[in-house]
Amino acid sequence: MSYNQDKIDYREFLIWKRLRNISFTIFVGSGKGGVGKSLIATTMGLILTGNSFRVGLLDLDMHGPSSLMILDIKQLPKEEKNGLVPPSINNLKVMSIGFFAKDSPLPLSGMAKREIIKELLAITDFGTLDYLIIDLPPGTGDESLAAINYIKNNRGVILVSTPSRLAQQVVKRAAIFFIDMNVKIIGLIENMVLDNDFGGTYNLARELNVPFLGYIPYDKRVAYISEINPKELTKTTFAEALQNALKKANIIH
Amino acid sequence: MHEFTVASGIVDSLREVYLVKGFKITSFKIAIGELSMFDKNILAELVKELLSGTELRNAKFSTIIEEALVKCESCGKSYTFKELVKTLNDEEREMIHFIPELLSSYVKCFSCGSRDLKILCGRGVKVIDIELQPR
Ligand SMILES: [Zn+2]
Repeated sequence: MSYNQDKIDYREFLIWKRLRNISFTIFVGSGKGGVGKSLIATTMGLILTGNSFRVGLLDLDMHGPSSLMILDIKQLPKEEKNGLVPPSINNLKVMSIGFFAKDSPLPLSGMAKREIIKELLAITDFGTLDYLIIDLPPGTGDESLAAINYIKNNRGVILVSTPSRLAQQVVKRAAIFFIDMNVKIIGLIENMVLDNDFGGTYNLARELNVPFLGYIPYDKRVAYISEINPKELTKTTFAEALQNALKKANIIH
Repeated sequence: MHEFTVASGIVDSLREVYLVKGFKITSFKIAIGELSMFDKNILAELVKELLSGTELRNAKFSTIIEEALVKCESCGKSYTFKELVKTLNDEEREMIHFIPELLSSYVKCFSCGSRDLKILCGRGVKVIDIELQPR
């Protein structure tokens, strides 16, 4: 075997070591923003911990890291011997770029985003997890590319759309991207459905030959997230519909 | 400061080269980017200690500081670490210690005010100049 590398990026080794303790990674993505993706990723995390799974949530949406606000997390990650231990809420371990950037702007180039994701994956000590949920930014940019590149095994993506035809058009593009990158499509979800006025996500799933996980009704209480506490979030009709979607995906039973 | 995490990452990844790739490591250098603000002596001490219990205990290493240079992509001016760091408070320094790219969240170009700052060098910790021998 030849080996002619004269430098090492220790972070790649740390990531590899940490991922060995994570059974499965669920990416949550969308084609466009404003489809409720972060809320789905966050609530999914709470539903899974409620089902006795060990779960981490990594918020990689650098344009609008919102998991800390949704979950009302004030605690910072704790520095321990083996890395940064994320704070937990309802047993959900949460890591976000938001901890580091506070309210400052995040003017980041594609390369900088990739470095940040590498750094976060290397320093965060989630410990042993059944599921790591990754809240990806909308689209198929550097964050998605980096996450797919560092997490190569035991992974799948849930894509969030809405009844809007535009949302479906861009989610289709995202779906094709993930299929091309060999990321398993766990399924498509149609979020923000008002008065049973369903859109075409079901047909899109059939066209792409990927599972359709269901419709999630627009829930006014959830839309005004600042007025709801994280513990009540799992008791909403929104969460109930999401729970059914996770059953359909065989993630919970 | 997460020196231990980094030190064990360095030693474990070098052991991987030994155990899996089958090479003895005679020497290497640890380059510490200024922006990471790691304590050079603490890091060296930890690496030494972690190496001592392994197959690599005879490997020689040195630590060097890699000077940071940050360029404003808007006006082209460049800044050194010393120029940049003096404008930051302790909390901001800690954030940049963990994630150097966040520099542009906390600093603007002194000349034109832009946040389009690119780190040219000196961001994190790297292991370089590894000298190998077949095992
Ligand atoms: Zn400038």
